[in-house]
Amino acid sequence: MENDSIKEIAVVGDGTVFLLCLLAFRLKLAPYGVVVRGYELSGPEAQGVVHIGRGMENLFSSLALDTPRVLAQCEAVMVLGEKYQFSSHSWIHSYGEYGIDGQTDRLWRALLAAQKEMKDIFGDARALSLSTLAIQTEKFAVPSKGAPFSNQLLDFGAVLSRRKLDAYFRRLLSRANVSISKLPLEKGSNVNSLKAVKGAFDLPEADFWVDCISQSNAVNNHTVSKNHVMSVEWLIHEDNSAKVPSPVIQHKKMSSGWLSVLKSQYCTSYRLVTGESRDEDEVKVDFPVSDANEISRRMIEDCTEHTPWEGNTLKITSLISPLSPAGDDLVESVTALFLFIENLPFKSNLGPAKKLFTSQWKAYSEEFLDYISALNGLAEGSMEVNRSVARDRIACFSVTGKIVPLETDAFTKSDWIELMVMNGIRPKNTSFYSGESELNAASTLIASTKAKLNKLCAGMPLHQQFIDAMKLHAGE
Amino acid sequence: MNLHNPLEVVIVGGGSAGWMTAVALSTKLPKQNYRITLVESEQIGTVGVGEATIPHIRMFNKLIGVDETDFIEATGATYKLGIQFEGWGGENSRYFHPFGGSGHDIQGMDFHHFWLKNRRKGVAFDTYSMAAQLAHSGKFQYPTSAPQELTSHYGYAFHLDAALYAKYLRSLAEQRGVHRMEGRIENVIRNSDSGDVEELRLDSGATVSGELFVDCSGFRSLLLRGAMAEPFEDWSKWLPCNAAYASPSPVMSRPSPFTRSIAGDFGWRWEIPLQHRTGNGYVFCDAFCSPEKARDSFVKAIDAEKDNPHLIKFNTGKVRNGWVNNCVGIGLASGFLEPLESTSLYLIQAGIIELLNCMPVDNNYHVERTEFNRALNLEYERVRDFLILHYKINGRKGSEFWDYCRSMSVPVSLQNKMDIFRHTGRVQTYRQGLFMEPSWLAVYFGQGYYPVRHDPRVEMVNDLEIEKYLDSLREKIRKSVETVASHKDFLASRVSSAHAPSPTASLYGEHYGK
Repeated sequence: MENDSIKEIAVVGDGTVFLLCLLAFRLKLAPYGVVVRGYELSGPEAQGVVHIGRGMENLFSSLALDTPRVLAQCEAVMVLGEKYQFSSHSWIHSYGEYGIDGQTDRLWRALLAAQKEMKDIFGDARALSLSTLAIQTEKFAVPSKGAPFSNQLLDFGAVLSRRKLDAYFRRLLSRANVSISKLPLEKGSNVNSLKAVKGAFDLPEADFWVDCISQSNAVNNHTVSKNHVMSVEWLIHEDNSAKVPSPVIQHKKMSSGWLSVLKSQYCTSYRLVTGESRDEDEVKVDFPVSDANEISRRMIEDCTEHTPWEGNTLKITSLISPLSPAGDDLVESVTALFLFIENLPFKSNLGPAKKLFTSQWKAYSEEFLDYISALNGLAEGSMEVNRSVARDRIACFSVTGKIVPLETDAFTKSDWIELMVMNGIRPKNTSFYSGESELNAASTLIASTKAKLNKLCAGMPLHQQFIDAMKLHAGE
Repeated sequence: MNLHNPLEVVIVGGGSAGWMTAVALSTKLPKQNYRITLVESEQIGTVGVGEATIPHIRMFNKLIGVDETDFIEATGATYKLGIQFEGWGGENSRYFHPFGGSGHDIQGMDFHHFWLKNRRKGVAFDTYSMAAQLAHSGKFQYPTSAPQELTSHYGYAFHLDAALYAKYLRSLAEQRGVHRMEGRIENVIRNSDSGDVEELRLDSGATVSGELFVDCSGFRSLLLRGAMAEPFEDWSKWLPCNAAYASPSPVMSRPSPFTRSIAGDFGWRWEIPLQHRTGNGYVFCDAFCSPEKARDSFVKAIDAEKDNPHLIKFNTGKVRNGWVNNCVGIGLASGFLEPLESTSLYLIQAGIIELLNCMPVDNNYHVERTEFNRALNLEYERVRDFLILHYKINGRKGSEFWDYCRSMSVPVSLQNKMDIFRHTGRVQTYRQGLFMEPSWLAVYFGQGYYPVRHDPRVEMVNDLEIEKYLDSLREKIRKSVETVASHKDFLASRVSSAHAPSPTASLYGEHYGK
């Protein structure tokens, strides 16, 4: 059996995901004798920012990275949630749980059963999320051992300098003696197309290939084909660290897609993710961007159309679907990588592992896209949700208050409740709290939780203070 | 259906399903909004399903606010750590399906891959299961809640007297306002336009009208398959057993903390220890064995009188939809799989929970009904696949019945799962559904269905290191088991103790879901 194990993996690509992939394989597979080699496409120095969402600390620890050190060295601005702005309303998707640990479900039920106007329910909901309270008061703290809150209650992400993060990853890879060969090409569509270029360079044989080609700058026109979305990023260099923004990312719904504003300490990134019809002028009116600021223009294929694993090549793909907000830059890639590692195939029979990987990845990406579809469809009260599973999920909640169980970690039950309630959906059936004594108990629970969370929030430092302290340790 | 306030809910049939439904609805639904009536006839016996349960019964008890000690006393219950399967993998084989997993993950990899590499050493997989080792030693204690301790790596359920359970629930339900009506249903009156059931006419001449009818009439499925003529999906090509004899035998001097499932030539036999008697049954397929032959084999095995066994006939499968118009089927009225993995009470419970989740509040309840049917259909299909697995990979050679089971085709969903396991050693998991990875592994390994490969990373771990780890784990479990009291002593102390909640809410141990 030993001879049939995968012995060599070649990772081809560019950018942060390419480096992250090498790190993950080095950590998870090299101890088992798998040799990992990187082949990097040439290109300009990394620019802009990387957004890592909820669960960043878990992601870093799974890669044996020291979170405070990464944050300090990569000019991070912290993120506790994401604000979605529509013309009619806005709401905050909180990274942390609602209520105190383990109460989320009960609290939502109590809130929905309360005989209140919807606007009062929004107000109460905001007061029952420590993340949202902290965002509103511009506070931040890292949940740590001995802290009065857990990382479920105050989960966090960050916006980091891409250049700094890439440099950090390169240092780790260099220390771990991971070989990275430069390919004399600036772009390529996929691994197979690179292999087909004869004579220019030699890609040695490997048992398995991982394709992390980002297609950065691969698109230079304005045509977005079917099943693709266009992501355009503009960058403005400015010192955000002098007046640190609230720990939240903003996504604004435009007629042509989503515009996201992401701030690290020294630059602000504006990202437009758009489908077939685009109007960049709309962006330029809203934000001070110009052609000079444009740093990338990418066309991203809709990942649901095919399996990312073909033959002996895995394509690490982004999960950006048409008209989705920018989303997280790394978590989905890492999810796919870890799924692959868990399902590591044998050389001579890739099929069964591929089948298992594909079914798990499909389940994950379907649930991811269901949420995005619901997020878009519920905007402006249009209720035009274009995926039937998401539609059924919304219909079921609207009537019964039940969340159809989820099969993956793409989004949680609480995320779905939050999404629907914050967009004005209130279940028809709230009989779970109908008796007078139950309603009184629910009111008491809401009031006492609010008081506890207010107290917790009051004890947190300002986000600015947190960043200032972190900057002092940036050189360490 | 025009719903009034309060909504009239009529439960048809007593027994476990009827009274479980009655007590759950009367506990969880606001009294001002729902009025619950249960119609049953003392002349009609109950099947008495579910003497053996799985850990989810504890969730149900919690839902209805039952004190565990009260429950144990009232139902003659004993504790259960899993099921011992005898003869399923071959004539003299034996394995344990525990409520909990085996071993710990090592370096982020599932324990069973390491066990597979070391399998040739001949140490059974359940050697590394705390629940299995406690069971083999006839011991029991409540699991702890410290995730790092072996003593937290399992869950427990009960063996109970189903008739006593129904009686116990009836008293609770009546205390909580459920109105019981005695009578045999002679006619079901449906609305000629909508097709909804409007009224039940009893043999006494009395009528019972309602807006939502819950069919708990058992195999007769009086409303769903009867009045509503909902089609039945027959699964007997995959689960061929269609009859069972049941008979009690004297109480065991030392009740075992597990159910026994003993394969025989024509089917299999259960043995369930209670405080006051032992429940026995023999499940068989009458296409392969006459009822007389099955009865003779059964009475010989349990040393009972020939006239004693009570014959129950059934069809495995389920109605296409468990909720049709204004009729919801719960339990046997909606479907029956097999007593093999003690899922009968669980499936009743699953139906009740979904009904509570989807309880109508007005006369537009299409969404509620759709969701109820989606959830229950998935639940039944996933349990079905796991049960079929036992038959499909049986190791009994030379018996017409078992040979048929081994050669039968299985549902695509199961075949895919088996193929993936065969080629990768990995269990395709899901979150909606009852049986998780430890259960699948217990049956695969217990019945000798091994993957051709395990995780390739395990190859790189030193053999001696693996062996050392496995030895030390086995020793830890042995030492932990040594300190535990016998099941009999624990049960006696519990029954006589002050009523206190059990110490952990975990169903299958701290590693596996709550």
